[in-house]
Amino acid sequence: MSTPFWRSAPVAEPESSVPLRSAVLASVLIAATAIVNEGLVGPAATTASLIGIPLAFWWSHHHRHRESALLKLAIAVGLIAALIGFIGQVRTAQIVSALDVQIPLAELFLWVQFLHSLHLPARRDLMFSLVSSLVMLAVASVLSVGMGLGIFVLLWLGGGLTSMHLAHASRLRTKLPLTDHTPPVPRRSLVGPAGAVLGFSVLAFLVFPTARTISPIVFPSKLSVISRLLHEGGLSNPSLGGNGEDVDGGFADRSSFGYFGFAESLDTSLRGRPDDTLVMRVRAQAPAFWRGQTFDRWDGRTWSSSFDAVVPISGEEAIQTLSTLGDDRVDSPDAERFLQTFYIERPGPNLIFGAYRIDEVFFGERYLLELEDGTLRTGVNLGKGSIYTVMSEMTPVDGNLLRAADPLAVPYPNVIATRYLQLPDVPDRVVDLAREITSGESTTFDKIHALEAWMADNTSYSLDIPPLQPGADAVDQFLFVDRKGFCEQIGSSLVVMLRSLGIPSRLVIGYTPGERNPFTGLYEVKASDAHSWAEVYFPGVGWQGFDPTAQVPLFGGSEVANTGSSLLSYLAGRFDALPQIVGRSVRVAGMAILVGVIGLLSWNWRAESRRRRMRSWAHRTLEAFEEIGGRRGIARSPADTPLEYLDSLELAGIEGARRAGELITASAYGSVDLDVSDVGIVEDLVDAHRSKGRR
Amino acid sequence: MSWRQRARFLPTRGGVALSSLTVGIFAISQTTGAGWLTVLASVSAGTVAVGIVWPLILVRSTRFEISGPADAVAGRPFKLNVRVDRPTSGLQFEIVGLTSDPVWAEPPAAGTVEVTAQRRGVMQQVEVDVTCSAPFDLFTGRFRVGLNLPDPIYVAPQPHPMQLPDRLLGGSGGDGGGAGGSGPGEMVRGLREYATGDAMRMVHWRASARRDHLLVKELEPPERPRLVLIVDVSHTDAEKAAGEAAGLIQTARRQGHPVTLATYEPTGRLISDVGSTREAGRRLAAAIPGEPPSGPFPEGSQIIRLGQTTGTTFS
Repeated sequence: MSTPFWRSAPVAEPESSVPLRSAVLASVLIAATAIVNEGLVGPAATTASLIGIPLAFWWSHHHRHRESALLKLAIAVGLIAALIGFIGQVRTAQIVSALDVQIPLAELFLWVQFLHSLHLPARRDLMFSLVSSLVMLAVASVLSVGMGLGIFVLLWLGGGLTSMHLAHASRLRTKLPLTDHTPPVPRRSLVGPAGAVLGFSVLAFLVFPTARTISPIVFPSKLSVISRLLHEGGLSNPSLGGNGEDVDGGFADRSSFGYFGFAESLDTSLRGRPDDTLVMRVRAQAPAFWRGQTFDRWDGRTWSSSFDAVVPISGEEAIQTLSTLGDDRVDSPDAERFLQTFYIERPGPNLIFGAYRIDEVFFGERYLLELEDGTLRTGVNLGKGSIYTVMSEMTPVDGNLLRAADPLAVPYPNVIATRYLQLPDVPDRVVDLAREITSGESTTFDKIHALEAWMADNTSYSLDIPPLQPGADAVDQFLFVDRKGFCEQIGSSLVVMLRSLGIPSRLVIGYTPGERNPFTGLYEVKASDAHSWAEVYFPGVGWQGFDPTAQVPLFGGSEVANTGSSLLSYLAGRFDALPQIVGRSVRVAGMAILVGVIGLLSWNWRAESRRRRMRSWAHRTLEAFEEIGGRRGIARSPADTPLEYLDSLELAGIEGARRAGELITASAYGSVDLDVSDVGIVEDLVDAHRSKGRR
Repeated sequence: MSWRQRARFLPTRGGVALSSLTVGIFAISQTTGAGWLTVLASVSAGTVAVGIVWPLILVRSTRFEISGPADAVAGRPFKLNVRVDRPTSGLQFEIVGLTSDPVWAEPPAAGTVEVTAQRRGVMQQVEVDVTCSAPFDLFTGRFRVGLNLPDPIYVAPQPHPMQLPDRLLGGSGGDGGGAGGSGPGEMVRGLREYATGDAMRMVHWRASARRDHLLVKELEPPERPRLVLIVDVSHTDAEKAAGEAAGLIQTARRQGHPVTLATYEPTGRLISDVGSTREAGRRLAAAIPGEPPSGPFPEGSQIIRLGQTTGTTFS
């Protein structure tokens, strides 16, 4: 009889190991769930992954002994359809960023995995699935910016190692065994290798260079929920309470992570620092200060901005920023393009952050509003999940260049002097102090360093300062009365003293780089990283940042050499937050360990009781055979092993006694879990001969 | 264990795939800045590292014991007893120089391996090819180990069916059934009373006449001519010669001819009678290239030379 065309020849070596298939399925499901968990793929792909793949594995296992040409045809058609769907999604998505491709690509991977799972007859097909699951996990790794992926990586590692171990055992069993009975896969033999893998992995992680963004090949951008502002061009900051736009000081409804510096004005007398809530993550090749906005007008207590005109800027893909006041550029071959992607974790100001100077912005709306000082605002609220990418152009400068471009010696536009030398009536002793500190310095650059050094020696950083009395000058209070304060006082003092010396400067509000998470490769910026520092204008060079509060260089900081040093620094940083983290982690780890220990103990208990049962079964059954043999006049001598005795019973005509002897020996002395069918056969044999004896 | 070759390593297809993926993931992590890819690359690299190191440790710590029967015949399967004590993960091994299938073991394990020797000889040592890719089947460690056998295995040549030369066939005498009297080679040992059924030709008429009743002759059994085999295994047809010698010895002994075997062995030239087929097999197994003794042999022996390039000769 000829084989129908839709049913081709049986598969060469179908894989029948259910544990192996289950382990591979677990690995594939873990990887698929890791992608789905990022919340980026659609419901169809999610269903195909979480329900379709297990069903496909089940189907594939039950049809492993035959191959169907129709099934292969259906899979091929499915693959073509998935590919067409992917191309369609990419074409209609109007690609702005790599993220627009990554998500359809992730969906395509899920569909391909689902279709592939329908046809996994042999071991090599299962191993291909395992490799495919690693690729899917890599896709999830690219999409993930949180720590949640860690658990998936660990689970996948467990599933993957088990799969490879079982596949190895399965392959060996295609050869002749040395012993007659096939021993079970040793349960403990994976523990050592798994521990070694963890050790080697940690070692590799410590020595691997840190993940970097070396070229502008990805420009992720996304808006979580588009919520347009009532007053376009205005500053909105929901973290300060109200609807985010009605910021009139006070901030009674300020959330714990709201920073009052991200407002229309900055009152340096306000108290209360934001907490350690994670507000955004930044993917960048090096740390930098993430600049938000500047203030140019000082009234002795409050900073505000004299720029109120906004200019809409837009672009098809990248939004080019405008050249604004003081944006002088050094024509240097060492100018670097510095890519940063911001992942918003908490609703905050509608400011576009970035290292100075922002050149291009990749923003989902392709529309921004720029102020005359270069501050960039969005027309929508930036909620959790919003993503944008910023390309900055950074030119390294040194002291010699800045000394040569001295605003005290080199002429510059009057409009800069008008705006950035503005001062109210500053107490004379502040001006005198500035002159006294810088009297020995001839250039602006050296004067700045002298002022910074004086403040480092004579003032201290403290969040606990007395309230500013009405009518008091904040800088005077800081320099002569309190001699302590936080970055707003310190930065303001530097700017005021510089202006009093005729050096154009301004106060900048933004964030310090935050801590680099060695796992995600992202800088984690907390609300408490909100910061203010000074920028000084150098004719021909542009604005240069100086931070009298922190020692962190404003730009051009060294990259982290390897992941190990980053990890140590990260862990050291976590030490401060131990109580919170420990509390959470201990609970989660404790639960996980508890569940693991209970699972392990139950497994061992079950295995041990099964072994005990089987041992007692062996003794019971042997006694039964001794009874049967005794009735036939074949008593067991003390020197007879069970196998020898049952051999003699076989010779005496009890067919199957020898096989029973082997099973009894294996069960009693070999710690082998017998097959239920074997046990049944032996017990039937005993019953049959007992009943014969009774008759 | 007498010697061990340096272990060699080869990646499996899985090893190649995982190594390539590790490199790829690492490269992507270095361009996209995705830190989790570094973690994933580290995990993959850790797995690859263990995939390389683990088989290295396992194959280096493998402990084998092999023993076999005292006698075997070339071309006929026999069983070797194998015990593997370490490592604790699955490995595969194959006996070198003997025809056998690859066998896997999950140590500690003991069992038998059926092998077939293709040529005669005395096996003092067995070579085993051990392969291990545990636990992940990513890299295969392979080495060859030589194991001293506790007792040597004598692999006798497979006997070729041989006919004895005519002279031996003619002198075999048979059952003494001649026409009358004692024939050539028949020696009268004594006389006894005639019993019903005795052949008339066995009646000793002269003694019967003297005693006045029938007496019959009792004969010594006929003495078979001695077969002397001079086996030279120095030449290319050595195995054929040994096989023919084994065949001749088998046939001659079956027909009652005493056999003397002259060979060259590691101890030197050796001429001695072979009392059993097993002894003959051991002698032929132990024969090595060298000029066998050419005498002296008992008078009247049938001498056969085997294994010279000129071919089998009878003299």
